[in-house]
Amino acid sequence: MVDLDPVQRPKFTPWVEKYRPSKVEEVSHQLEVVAALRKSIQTGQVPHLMFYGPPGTGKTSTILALSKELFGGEFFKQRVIELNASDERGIAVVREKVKKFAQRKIAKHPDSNFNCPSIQIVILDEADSMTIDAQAALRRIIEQYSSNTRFCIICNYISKIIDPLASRCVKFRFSPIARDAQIDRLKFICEKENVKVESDDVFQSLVDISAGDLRRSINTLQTASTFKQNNITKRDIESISGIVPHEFIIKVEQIISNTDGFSDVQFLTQELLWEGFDVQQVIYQILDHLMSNPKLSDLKKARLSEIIAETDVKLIQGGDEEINLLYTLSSVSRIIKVKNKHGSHQ
Amino acid sequence: MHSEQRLWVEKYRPLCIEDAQQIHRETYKMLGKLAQSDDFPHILFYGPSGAGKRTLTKCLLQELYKTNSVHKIKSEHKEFKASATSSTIVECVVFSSNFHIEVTPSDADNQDRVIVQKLIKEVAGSQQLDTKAQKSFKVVVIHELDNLTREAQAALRRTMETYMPYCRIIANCESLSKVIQPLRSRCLQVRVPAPSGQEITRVLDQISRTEGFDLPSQLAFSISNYSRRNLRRAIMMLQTAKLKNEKLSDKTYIPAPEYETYTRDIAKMVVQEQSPKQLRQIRTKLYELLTKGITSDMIFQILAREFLKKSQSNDKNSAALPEIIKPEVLKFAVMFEHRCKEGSKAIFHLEAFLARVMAIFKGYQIRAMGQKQY
Repeated sequence: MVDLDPVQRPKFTPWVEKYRPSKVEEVSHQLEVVAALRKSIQTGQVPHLMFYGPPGTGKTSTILALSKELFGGEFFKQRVIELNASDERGIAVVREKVKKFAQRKIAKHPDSNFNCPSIQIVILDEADSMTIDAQAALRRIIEQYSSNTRFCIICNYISKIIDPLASRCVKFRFSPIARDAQIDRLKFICEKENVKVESDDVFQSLVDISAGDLRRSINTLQTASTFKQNNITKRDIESISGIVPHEFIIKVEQIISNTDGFSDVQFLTQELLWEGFDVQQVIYQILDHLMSNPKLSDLKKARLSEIIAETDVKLIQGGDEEINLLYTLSSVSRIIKVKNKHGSHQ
Repeated sequence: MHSEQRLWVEKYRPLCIEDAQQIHRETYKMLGKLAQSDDFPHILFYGPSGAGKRTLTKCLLQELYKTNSVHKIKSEHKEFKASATSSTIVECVVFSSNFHIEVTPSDADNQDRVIVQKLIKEVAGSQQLDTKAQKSFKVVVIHELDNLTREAQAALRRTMETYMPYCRIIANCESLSKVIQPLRSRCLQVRVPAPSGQEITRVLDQISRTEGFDLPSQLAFSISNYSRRNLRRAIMMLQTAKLKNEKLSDKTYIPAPEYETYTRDIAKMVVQEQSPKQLRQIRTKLYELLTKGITSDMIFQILAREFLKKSQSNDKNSAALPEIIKPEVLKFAVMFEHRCKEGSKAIFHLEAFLARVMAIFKGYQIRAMGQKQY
């Protein structure tokens, strides 16, 4: 295992690691979780935990911060084992490694004055990629060793965790981080790193792009800062974040609402693919753009959402980008145009 | 001129940023700056094939370590046990220099997770030995990130964070939507658009000048057209054309890849006759394609392109379908392509799709006949 403590790192530290909160109180936005865990730290009573929520909302940060506070700065590494998807986690590993860790005697804290609860923590990060068998093997282990070992299960999708395992834990949902909380954190980092931005608009666009994923906005900010220390502009952020420029979306809208043949849409699809845009991003942004168009009726908007949801599933399951994008654009085009013919519901 | 038998694609690949100023100038400038700075992020190049992702990777490595030895690559065959208990052995070929390693984990099909977990972690976990090196980290280049299984991608997540001090990942992929979100949010995503037709003709021109032969501008233009903005393909086409013909003229025949014409024939057969007998003949053709290693993705793409292209009334040989049934055909193309991904045997779904197209087209013809009679 590599050193988990950010202070010890050489200077090439990604900010997401450098500014990982070291106290539970510092975790951005997750007020309920923080309130519940504060109690745990005071009393030293920790239940089995399950953290779930979208990426970049502070799940891993929270448990690392919690264990640091419980066991103290350096010592916590002896009381915590972190297993994530990069480690092999089949049923054999659960049986051997986890069991061995759970069975062993707990190391004494060197400082006898430190009020250190006599438990150890197993962190199962990214648990939704564990096999069902491995999860089933955990069931008994969790109960058997609950006198001295606590489990913290972290996942993106709670539906991928088997019920018996979920019911043994106290569940905390991590919601996407709100705008203000993100902006506060980003401002804090900017101040510490001595990075200047042009205006507060920059933060706004960072938050827009990240859609609640704080890691993504911090990463984007850091990359932007390697190009420019001063005066980072909104354009800089947009150019490195992989979003489709607004001009393109307008162009797409124009073409699909005026064309009456397939070949135009086909040509457009090819163009978009050649430009190398992320197809998912393209369709999200088109949807976003059309949703804010007051001329489209609610019914049309519902139909559009339906089409785009369908495509999204297919793309995630590995569908071909060309065919799916063509289908989406041509369907969207037809839906929009029906309205143009009747022209009555405005 | 030497009769050197190197592929021009390799021979004329620029290896450092100074040489690579023709295409993607802005991107190179940005990467050059990035390579100078202290905190270099993980990078993910995405864009269509033949756009220059690998070239960018090579130039970036050169820029990072400021030495030509990054291009001195040795290949090594490695074997890993799939797990402690099983006897399955996973093989892969690793290309490495003193500063970086290159892997294509998707070569190992379903066992790619093992490569990510064992090999990449092993390399990522050890420190750069040469302390005088430009950078304190090594680079792991992962090709075809989008073809990795979900498990393998998940395995990369924490590896990318924990080993960041010693290791950076440069990955490339064609379609970003197949890369899981948590990986994307850990990388700087760099879009690599396909070069424009003009840029391709310019490169072709330059190659012909260095090689010392005449390339008529009309031919350069049609090659760049045929290549579908894929530079690698364009250069390959030029080399093939040069090998086959001593002198190139405007009318030199540029052969399209065989599988493409072959697939187009299938589309034509569907339009010519709609019957079970025809379908049986198509089946043999489909098998032929599949056994030659053409993926179902490609077949679906070409078929859809053929069916949906603009119909020219004077072209009897075209497979283009009437405008009015195109939406329906496309809908089924999407449906069967999706099923093909979910299922295991591609042939069923390809055939089902073609049968469906036949049915739709026949239905259309009958309706059209009926309208004429009354």
